[in-house]
Amino acid sequence: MLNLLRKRWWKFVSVAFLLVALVAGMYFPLSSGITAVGPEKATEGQTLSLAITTYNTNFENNKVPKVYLRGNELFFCANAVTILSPVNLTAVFNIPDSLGINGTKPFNVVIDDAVGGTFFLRSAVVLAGSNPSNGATHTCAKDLEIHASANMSYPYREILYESIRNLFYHVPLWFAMLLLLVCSFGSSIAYLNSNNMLYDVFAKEAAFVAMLFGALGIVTGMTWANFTWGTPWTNDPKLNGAAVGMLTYLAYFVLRGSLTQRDQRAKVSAVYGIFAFIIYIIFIFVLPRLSDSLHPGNGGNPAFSNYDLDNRLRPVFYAAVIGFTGIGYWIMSLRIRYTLLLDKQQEQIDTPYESMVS
Amino acid sequence: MNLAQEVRYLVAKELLLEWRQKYALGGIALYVVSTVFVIYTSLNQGNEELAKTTWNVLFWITLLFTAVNAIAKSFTQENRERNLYYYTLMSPQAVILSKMVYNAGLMILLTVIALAVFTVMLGSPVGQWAIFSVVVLLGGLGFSFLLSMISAIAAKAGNNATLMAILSFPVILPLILILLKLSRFAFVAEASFADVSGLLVTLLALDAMLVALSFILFPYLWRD
Repeated sequence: MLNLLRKRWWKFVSVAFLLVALVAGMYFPLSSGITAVGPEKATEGQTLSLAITTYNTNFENNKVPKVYLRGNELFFCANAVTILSPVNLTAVFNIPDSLGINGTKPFNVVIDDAVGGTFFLRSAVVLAGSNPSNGATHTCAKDLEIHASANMSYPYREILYESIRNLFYHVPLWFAMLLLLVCSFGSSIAYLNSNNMLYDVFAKEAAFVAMLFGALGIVTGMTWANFTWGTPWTNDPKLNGAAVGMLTYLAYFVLRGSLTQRDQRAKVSAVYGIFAFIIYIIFIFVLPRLSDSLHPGNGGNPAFSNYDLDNRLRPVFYAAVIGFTGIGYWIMSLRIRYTLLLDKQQEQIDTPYESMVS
Repeated sequence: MNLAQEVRYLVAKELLLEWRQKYALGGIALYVVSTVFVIYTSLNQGNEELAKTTWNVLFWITLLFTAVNAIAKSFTQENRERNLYYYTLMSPQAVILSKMVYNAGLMILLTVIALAVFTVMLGSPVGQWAIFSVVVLLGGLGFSFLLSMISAIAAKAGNNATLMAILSFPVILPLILILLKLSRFAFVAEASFADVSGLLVTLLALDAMLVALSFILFPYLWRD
């Protein structure tokens, strides 16, 4: 383990990965999306002139996109599309008057652009109607083909918007923290088995860097939560798990600080480290299953892997995981070397005579 | 001597010690009563009905603080030399098991006192006493198992009250959350054991895991 930490290649690799993740995470734009549609209400039989505002599009007059209104089996094409600006257009629909809508029905607005790909706003327009259906369900051929944006871009999601990039920073920081805590746990076990002081230094420094990453994870998470959920802190099991982890390991450092004798400090803190880690793992993996969480993959929310972590996010995300973990281990190895040097210096101060002789 | 015999002797010793210093037990019982009385007088300002959630939280927090105070002295009430003497006679597993068994008994006694005082002073929202007794029993066991081990750790570091609290509170949280959830079920009169079986099994597993962890880790701790 220590031999690997002394080697140099993995430090370059992790810095490279982290740089790639930082640059790529910020460089590529978001896919096109629809931000606003007006008017939001219409009735059947009406000639509807929709004003659509979009995000990250570059409409030009010689490349007019196709615009559709879609509500399950009902499907209408825009008769005329006028481009007002690169991010504004007007679409005119002749809505048939016998649709069989009894009451109201929400419709998605879909835009099919050659550059930006296919994008839509869910339930953008509500159609009201009372006439019975005459069987007509669409005003044009259903030639809608969903295709992705022509250029590399990250998915445009309502609520998340540009903050989807935080996926590359918040989540990998937690991954790195957990891996460092596992390292600390393993070192504590190794210390109890061997009584080798080196493992004690390992356990302490791994826990220290893990807390550093945990704090960054909390800060990035709170920023994200403030943007998407409207509040920096909610009573969410994963947030509580994070807070408990921080408290546990801060207590671990207080315990270390209150013990002065080195062997005893190593032994007692190793025992507490193992005890606390196992209970912490139970806390973050078992308890969230007993109650709902706002996080993806919990309480009926789709997991990231279902649709958010699509192939455009995946490479950058994994690069960030490798990069942050590598940087964490690098900081840890520096701190270990520093502590070992301090220990050596302390020994020389403690035994001046012996060091002079040898 | 086998393990069971050693544990039996050590528990008997604990009981004898407790009997000889009756004021310690009386002290901790008084601690429960006065805590509940403080809660009672503080809450009774406007004669409002106490919400079930508030009762639940206050009950378990009172028990938590009582447990921390009662169990903190486990490894420090006897002096170092005497502890050394026990360690030469008995296996470390017997020492920690006897502490856990004794503290479990103590916790059950304190839980009963706390429950009685709570019911008398603040009323009781409990609808299903069968479920609630099981929950309280398993909760008391969990508290005593976890805090016995933490007090062994804190004893090595001079055993100040702050250390005992900060070491135990984060790790006791999973237990408390399960207990609060289970108690809420017990407040409903129509609740049956089938509703809470999953949570009860989780609680039992947690208790068993705490015993196993202490059993494995304590031998490393006492060797000085």
